[in-house]
Amino acid sequence: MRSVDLHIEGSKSEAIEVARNRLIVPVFLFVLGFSVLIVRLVSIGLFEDISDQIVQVHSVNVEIVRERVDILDRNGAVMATNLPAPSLAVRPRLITDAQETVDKIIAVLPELNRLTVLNKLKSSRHFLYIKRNLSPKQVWKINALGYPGLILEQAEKRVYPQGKLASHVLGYVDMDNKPQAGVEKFFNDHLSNPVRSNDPLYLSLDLRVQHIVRQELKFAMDRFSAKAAAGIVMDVKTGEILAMTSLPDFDGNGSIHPNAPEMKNRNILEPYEMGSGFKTFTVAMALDSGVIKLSDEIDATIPLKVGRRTIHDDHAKNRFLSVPEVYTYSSNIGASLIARRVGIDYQKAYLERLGMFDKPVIELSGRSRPILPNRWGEIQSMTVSYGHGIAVTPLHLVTGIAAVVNGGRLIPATLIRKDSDLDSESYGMSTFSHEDDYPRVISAETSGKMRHLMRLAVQYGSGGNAQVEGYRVGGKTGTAEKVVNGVYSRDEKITSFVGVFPMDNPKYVIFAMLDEPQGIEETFYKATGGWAAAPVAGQIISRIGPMLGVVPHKNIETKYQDLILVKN
Amino acid sequence: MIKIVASFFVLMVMISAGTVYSLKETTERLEARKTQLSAKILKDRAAIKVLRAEMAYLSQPERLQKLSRRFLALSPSRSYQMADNITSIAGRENFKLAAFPVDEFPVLMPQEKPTFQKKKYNTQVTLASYPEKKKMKIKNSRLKEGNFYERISLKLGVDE
Repeated sequence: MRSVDLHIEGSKSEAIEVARNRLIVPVFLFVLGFSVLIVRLVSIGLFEDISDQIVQVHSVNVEIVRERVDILDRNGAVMATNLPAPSLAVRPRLITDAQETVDKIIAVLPELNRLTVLNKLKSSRHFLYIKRNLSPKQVWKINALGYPGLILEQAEKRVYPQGKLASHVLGYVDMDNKPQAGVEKFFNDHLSNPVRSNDPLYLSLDLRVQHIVRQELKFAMDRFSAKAAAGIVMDVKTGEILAMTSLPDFDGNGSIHPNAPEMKNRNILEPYEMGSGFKTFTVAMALDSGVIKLSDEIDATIPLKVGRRTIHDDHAKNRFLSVPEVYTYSSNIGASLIARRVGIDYQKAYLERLGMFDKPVIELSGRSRPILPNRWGEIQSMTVSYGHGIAVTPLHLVTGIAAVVNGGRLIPATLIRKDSDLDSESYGMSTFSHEDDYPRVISAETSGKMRHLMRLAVQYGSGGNAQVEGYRVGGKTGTAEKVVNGVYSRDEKITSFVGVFPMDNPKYVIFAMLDEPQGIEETFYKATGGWAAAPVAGQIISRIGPMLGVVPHKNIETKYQDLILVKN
Repeated sequence: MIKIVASFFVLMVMISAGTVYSLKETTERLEARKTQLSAKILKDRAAIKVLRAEMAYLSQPERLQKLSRRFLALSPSRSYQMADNITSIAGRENFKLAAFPVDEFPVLMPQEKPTFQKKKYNTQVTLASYPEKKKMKIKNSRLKEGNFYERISLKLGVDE
């Protein structure tokens, strides 16, 4: 078939020609427009990322369980968490057969009172709660009953999986998940912030250490029939508290009586007269001020009479003692004479610098002020030198001892894990990153001497029971008589031991205290710091040392041994 | 000519319309799947939270200690079992190292083999055994089905 070309000629053909020419313009425009679109399409498809903002509109991370943030220990073990625990409520108007319903509810929740539940079911109100915080199993059973009048309201419950362990540090929450004590209260801004629900609070506590301290203290408490006990393990370089126990303790999951004795955190709440532990500060301040050299001899031949009072030694040597001997044999007379040489003003200023005049520093509420002498005269200065007449909390003592042995920096105690990558401001922590940034309270030289003296006190002094194979433990025992009705009691004593290990490069301060221990046969009916508290610290050290990776050492010669004239 | 061009364009328009429609359809389906998935992720996270709490509860140090005493022939590590570098395991002094030691153990290493004395009694490691009747038969078929969350909620009885 041949194609036939048709031609239009004349004026019509010209008009068509013009029309065609004019058509080129819109065609050109359309082509231009579409090609722009195609180019843009290709460029979007190939080169541009999918915009995240549009995608995330639908998936804002709102956790189902979000009321309170978890609390973890330094290794990430859960110490407090929120779990869904719906509450059972009822709409009485939707209940048809109250008698039958109540029987079935009681079958699932046998602890409820039948009559009260029945009254609720028959009530004329719109909405009533029957029971809060059901367990998952109970929820399932209630659902299986299938009554439309029974309603499960979404709610959350604070759970402490570790039970009594570290309950004083964690604190507790009330029925409405409002914090009432401890870390829960102090860090409430963080913990109750829904935006940070995936940002758990890491404590400085180590669950294993906490358990060991609690177990050993509990054992000693039962053994010596003590009324109470307290213990702290603290990192001397960072101030992190690895364990803080106060016995008796409570279970944050159970019912809580805010005024019961087990609610007291004895580590920060109760000031105690610490006894000989304070001699550490006395000797340190004397060496620091330069009024005394280690080789100086101090007259401890006879009890010291000051005004109407006489100061005796518990382990009297009745001879001249060198400074290491005063410390090692815990001579009250020696400490008093040293304090007299140091002077009242220097002593006060020194103790104030160590933080003994203020509340202890830690992220907990309910810290108490130390009890200081009303009038700081000569006799008060002397009793303070061996830890009587001044009552401080155990945390004061531990923080002070840490400063004495760590090279002289006063590092405040903290319950928050210190990380290099942690942004400390969000936790309201002090922004010092390195130990050298903290204020110096003791010279490095004195700190070095004190380490050796503390080691001597364990090697030759009353702290012998705290010795541990492989670790060089140093420390000081303390035995103080309790004040009962304004008089020092002979039988009721506070015995404590504050220890440091390893002495050549101190890492941890251990504190153990027993309240009113009774002597037993194995200890020859003695319940002093050396017999009751020191073995606890020794046991704790022998168990946590390998766990915390402290390098054991073969015995290294302690300095100043030659200054001890007679070795016990 | 114009017919060919026109039909080509019509074809293109139809194809692109079809493509756009199917794309939109797919996107919507994906979007629905995504919301479904993120809801499930949140549920799974809540379930994981329950499991973590349960794990923390079951691994209380006190409980573990009791269990380990009963079932394991292990005792806590002692300080003499630990070494921090190769020189302390050498067992002699005054030696020269051929090269700089590579072994700066970041963690303490066992130094000596712990000696385990057999006690007269209590040597038998006993495993708890239940009478045959009480052994629960786990329905495998039921457990295998369903996703992670369903399996957990089946075990714990968490309401949906």
